[in-house]
Amino acid sequence: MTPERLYAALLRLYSKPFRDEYGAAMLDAFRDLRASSRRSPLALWRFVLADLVSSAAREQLDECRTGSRRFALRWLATCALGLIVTVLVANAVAWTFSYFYHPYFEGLTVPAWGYGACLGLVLGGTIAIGQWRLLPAQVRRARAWALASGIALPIAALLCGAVVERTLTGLKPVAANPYVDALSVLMRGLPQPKNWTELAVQFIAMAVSGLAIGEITARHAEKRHAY
Amino acid sequence: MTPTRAEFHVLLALMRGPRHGYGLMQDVEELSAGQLQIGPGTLYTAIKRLRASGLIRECDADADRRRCYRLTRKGKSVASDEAHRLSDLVSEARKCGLLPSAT
Repeated sequence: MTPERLYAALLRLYSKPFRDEYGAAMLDAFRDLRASSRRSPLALWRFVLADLVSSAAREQLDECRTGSRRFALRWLATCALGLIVTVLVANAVAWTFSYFYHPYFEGLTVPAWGYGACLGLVLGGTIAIGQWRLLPAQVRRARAWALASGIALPIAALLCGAVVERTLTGLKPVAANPYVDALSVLMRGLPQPKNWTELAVQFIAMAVSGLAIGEITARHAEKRHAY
Repeated sequence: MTPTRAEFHVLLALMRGPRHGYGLMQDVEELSAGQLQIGPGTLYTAIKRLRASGLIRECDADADRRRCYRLTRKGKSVASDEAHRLSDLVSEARKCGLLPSAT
């Protein structure tokens, strides 16, 4: 395989629209570089590969943010990121409570709505940041946010409910079988009437935090591209 | 748009006149006294971004039928703003004693 053919094959690291637009010109530039370079072949390839990998990664990220990749993939990525971070934070909190358990805390109750709202803030904030990174400004400010939040929030509410239950049970070790409780919350949502208020608070906290962060980041992005 | 280091060097190189891709790579290396060497990947991702922002545009192909680029008025303005920003930064560095006095 000639160096030109190898370089042409490596250009597949870039997105197709970019390759179609600049692939031939890049190959010409590589040919010129190779012909006039004073580097050894090994040093030349090291330079070219480092340049190619770093710029292809940047270009792919750019394509994700502004290009024509499928919207659903980007939306799924933002929701998955939000849920993963929320699960990690919730588990870290539950683990911390159980690890530092002391009889002094026996009977202490954490307001479920407060904890749920905090988790909602984590989720809303993470999704907003994910959207800022992955979606173009005009999309993330309207359609994408409404769609992503509309589907992610109910899932998150169930998740927050389950984690609240688990955490509260962790504070009261005499209560038996926390996982059944958590499972029942997951299966039935939040069954107690008073929890509808908690559910509403979680929804509001998530929506407000997400929208606020989305708005701030969108304005920041607009300022950066104000030329 | 705030140009990156490579993009600013591309804008500076285009201040000399229209260039094709490899010519730009050579000019960037020369302008930076060999400190910055950009490969085809960095160059064309920079060109894509600069074109999308309206700072450069494609001009008629040269004798070798290679694609050439030239600076737009907006590109000159952005390059000038960035040069002023860097100049202010150098002045501050001078005041802080990081650089010898200009006199």
